[in-house]
Amino acid sequence: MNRIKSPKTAKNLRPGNISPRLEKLGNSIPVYLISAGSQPVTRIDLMFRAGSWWQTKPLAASSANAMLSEGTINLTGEQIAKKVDYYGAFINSSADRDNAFISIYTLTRYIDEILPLCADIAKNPSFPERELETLLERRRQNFLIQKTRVSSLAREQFAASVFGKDHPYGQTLALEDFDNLTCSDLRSFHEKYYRSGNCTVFVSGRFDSDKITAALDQLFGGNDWHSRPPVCEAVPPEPDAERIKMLIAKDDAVQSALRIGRRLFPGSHPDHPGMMVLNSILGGHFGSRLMQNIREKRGYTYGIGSMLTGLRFGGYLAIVSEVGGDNREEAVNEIYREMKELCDKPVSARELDLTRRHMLGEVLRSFDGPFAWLESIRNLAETDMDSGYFDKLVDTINTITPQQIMELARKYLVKGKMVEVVAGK
Amino acid sequence: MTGFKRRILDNGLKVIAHKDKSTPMSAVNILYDIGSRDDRPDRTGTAHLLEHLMFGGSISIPSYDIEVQNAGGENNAFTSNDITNYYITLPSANIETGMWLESDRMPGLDFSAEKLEIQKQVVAEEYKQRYLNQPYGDIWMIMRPMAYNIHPYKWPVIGSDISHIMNITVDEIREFYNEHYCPSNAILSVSSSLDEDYCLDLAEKWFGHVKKRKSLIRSIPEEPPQAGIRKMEVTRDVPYDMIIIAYRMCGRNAKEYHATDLISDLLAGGKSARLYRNLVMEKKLFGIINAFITGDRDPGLFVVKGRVSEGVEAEKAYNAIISEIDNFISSPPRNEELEKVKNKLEATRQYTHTDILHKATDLAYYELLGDAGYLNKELTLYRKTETEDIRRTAILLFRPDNASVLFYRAKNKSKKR
Repeated sequence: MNRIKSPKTAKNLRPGNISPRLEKLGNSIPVYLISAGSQPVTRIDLMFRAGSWWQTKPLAASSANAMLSEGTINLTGEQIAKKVDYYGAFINSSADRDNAFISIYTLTRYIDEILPLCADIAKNPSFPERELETLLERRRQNFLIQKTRVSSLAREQFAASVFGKDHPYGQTLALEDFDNLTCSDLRSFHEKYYRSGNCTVFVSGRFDSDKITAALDQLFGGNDWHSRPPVCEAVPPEPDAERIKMLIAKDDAVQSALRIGRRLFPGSHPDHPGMMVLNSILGGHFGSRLMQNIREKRGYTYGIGSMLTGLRFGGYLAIVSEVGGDNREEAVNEIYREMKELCDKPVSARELDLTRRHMLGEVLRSFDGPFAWLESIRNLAETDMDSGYFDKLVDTINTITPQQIMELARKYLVKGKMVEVVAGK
Repeated sequence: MTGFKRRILDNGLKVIAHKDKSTPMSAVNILYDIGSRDDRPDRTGTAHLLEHLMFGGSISIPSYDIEVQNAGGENNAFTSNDITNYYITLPSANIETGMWLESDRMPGLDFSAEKLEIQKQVVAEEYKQRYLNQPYGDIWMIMRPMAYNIHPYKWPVIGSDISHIMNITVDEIREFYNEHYCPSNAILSVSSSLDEDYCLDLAEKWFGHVKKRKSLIRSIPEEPPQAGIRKMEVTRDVPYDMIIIAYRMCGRNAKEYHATDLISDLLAGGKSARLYRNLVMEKKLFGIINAFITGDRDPGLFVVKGRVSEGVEAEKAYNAIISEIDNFISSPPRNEELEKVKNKLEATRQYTHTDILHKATDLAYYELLGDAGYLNKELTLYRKTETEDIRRTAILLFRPDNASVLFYRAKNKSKKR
C-alpha cells in the first residue's frame, strides 16, 4: 500500500439545505425550528435584544438576565431550581454585548413540564432583593479575581482602547458599580427589553415541530407582553485613528498577555467573508502562520490565534496570546512581521488551496448535530443575518484570489492603526 | 442508545464503529492506554510531552497539520492521569485521511532533538499559563502530593516541575513511545455518517499492517489506606480564601463508584443541591461551592471546593461544610431528591451525545473500561442505587481520617468598602 500519498480528499464540500423551518407566533415572534439528530432531547433558545449595548447602568443587562430564574411572581428561586433539576433540565441564561438569552435543554418527553416554567421566567421575574445581593457579591468576587489575571486585564483594556470608553462595547467596570445596582433598575430593564417585539425563538433537537409551535404560541404568542423593539441611536465614532500602545504592568507575572488588533465591522460588511479567509491564514487555526511561527517554530507560547468578531453595530480583529516575559518583544515583532508579509506577498496557490479546504471543513462542522446547527443559525441572527451568509462565505472561500487577499491585508492590517495592549511585563 | 459494531484486528487493535446519519461529519478517535501515571517518578510529564510530539510528523507524513487542513479536519488531543486521547473530526468524504494519519504515527513517529526542544518550550509556557500565572492555579500542585504518598497520581499530568520536563531526552521519550504506542494498547473508535462495516473495513485497511508488539506491563504501586486527616495551609496573592477537601474514593470499576458519583451531584449538582442552597444562598458563607469526583481508574478523589465569602472566617466556613456532610449521613436523600440527580445524569448524557465527537470519545473510553456497550448499560447501575447505598458509601467516604484539607488563604484579603 502506498502510504506516502494521501488518500483522495473531496473538494468543494458544501453543506446541504441549512435553512431551518421558520414559523411565526400570533404576535409575530419568529421561531426557527431544526428537528434533527439521534437523541430525544430539545433545546430552546429565547433571544432578546437585551445585551449590555442597551443598558444605561453598568451590569444591568447581565444581572437582569442572571436574575430571571431567581424567582417569579409565581415561584421562588428554590422552587424553580428544584423543578428544573428534577426533570434533568438545564436553564442557562447569558447576556453578551448585543443580546441576552435564555437557553433550555430538556428531554423531549418533559417539554410540557418545562416550557411553562420557561415562560414564567421570561415574562414574570420578581427580582428578589436577597438573591440580587448574593448575585452581586459573587460577581464582585469574580471581578476581583479577574483583575489578577493578565489575560482579563488585556482583554478589558483592549476593548476600551479599540472602541473608546464611552462606546457601549468599550465599557469597563469599576468596583462601585457592584454597589449601585438595584432591583428596580433590573425591573425597568426587563420591562423595556424582555418583550415579544424584541424576541426570537430557536428550537433544535428531536421533536414534533407542529406540536412545539402550538405550545410556544400558547405561552409566548399573545399580545400581553408586546411593545415595539427599541431602536439603536447613533453608533459612536471610532476613536482617534492613531496607533495605541499600552502596557498594564504586573511585575510578578511570569507571562505577559498580548492583544493586538483594531476596530472593524459587523458580519454584514461586504469585506467580511474575505477577511475570514485572511484571518484564517494569519491566525485562525493550528496550521496558521502565527501558530506555526510563534509556537511551533519558536516555542514562545502555548497558544496564539487571531479572531474576527462581528457584532451588531461594529466589530474587531484581535490577535491574542500569552507569552513568557523574556520573549514578549520578539513575539510582538513577529506578529507585525507576519502582518506585513501578508501585505507584501501574495499567498501561494498551495497555501490558499489548503486554506480553502480547511475553511470548507469548518463550515460543514458548524452543522454537526442539531445543537451546533442551531448555534450557527442563532449566531447569524444575533447580528441580523441569516443562512444566506454561508452561501456568500462558501463562494468567497472558493473564488477569492491571492491578489484580493493581499489587497484586504493592505487595507486592514495596517500597523499604524493597531491597538497593542500588553498586560504583564 | 448508542449502537456500535466492534472488530479486533490481528495486531490487537480494538475498533469500534458507530453510525449517526444526522451529520455530514465523521469523528476518528484513538485512545492509548497510557497516562501520566505511567511516567517515571524522576521524569514526570513524559506522557503529556509525548502527546505534543505526536503532531511533529511521522514516517510517511512530514506534516500532520497540513494533511489535516487538506482534509478540512479539526483535531486535538488530551492527556490525563490514565489515558492519552487523540481525535479528529472531518467531512465524512475525507474520513480516510483521518485513518491514514493515525495509522502512520502509531508505529513510526519522527523524533528529532530540535522538535523536542521546541515542544519543551511550548509545554513550559503551558505550565506557566495554566498553573503559575493563574489565581489559585497551583491548588492541584499542592493537593496531589498531600492526598497521595506513593501512587503516581501524586504528580500533575503536565509534570511536577518544569525541570523534569526539561531533562527528558530524545532517547527516553522514544523508548517511552516504543513501550506504549502499539496496537494492542490502543482503541480506535469512529463515529460517522458512514456505515459501520465500511468504517471497520477502512480501519483494517489502514491499521492492519501495523506490527503487533508487546506493550510494557505496568506495575503501579497501590496507595495504602489513609490513616489520619492531613491538613495544610498556604498563603497566596489572591483576593479570597479557598477551602479544598479531598476524600479518597474508589476506582472507576468499583461497585461504589456510582453511589459516589451521585453523592457529588446531591451535594453540589445544580442550584437545588444541598451545599449551594444552604451555604451559598442561605448562610452566604461561600460565593461558589463545588463537589466533584476525579473519576480516575485507580482510586481517585472526591473533592469539595469552596470560595469563602468576604468577611467570613475560613474555619467557620470549613466547619459548615463538615456539618453539611454530617447532616448528609444522618438524613440521606430519599425519593425525590435522589430521583432528581438520576434524571439529571440521564439527561446530561443525552445532551452530550448530540455530536459525534463526544460519542466517539466516550465509546473508546468505555471500551477501555471493559466494554463499549457499558456506555448504554451504566445508566441502570445509577438507577439501581438506593438511599441505603448512598448512606453506606457516604459513611465510608467521609471518614475524617480519609480527608486531605487545604486552606488556601488570601494574602491581601479583600475588604468590603
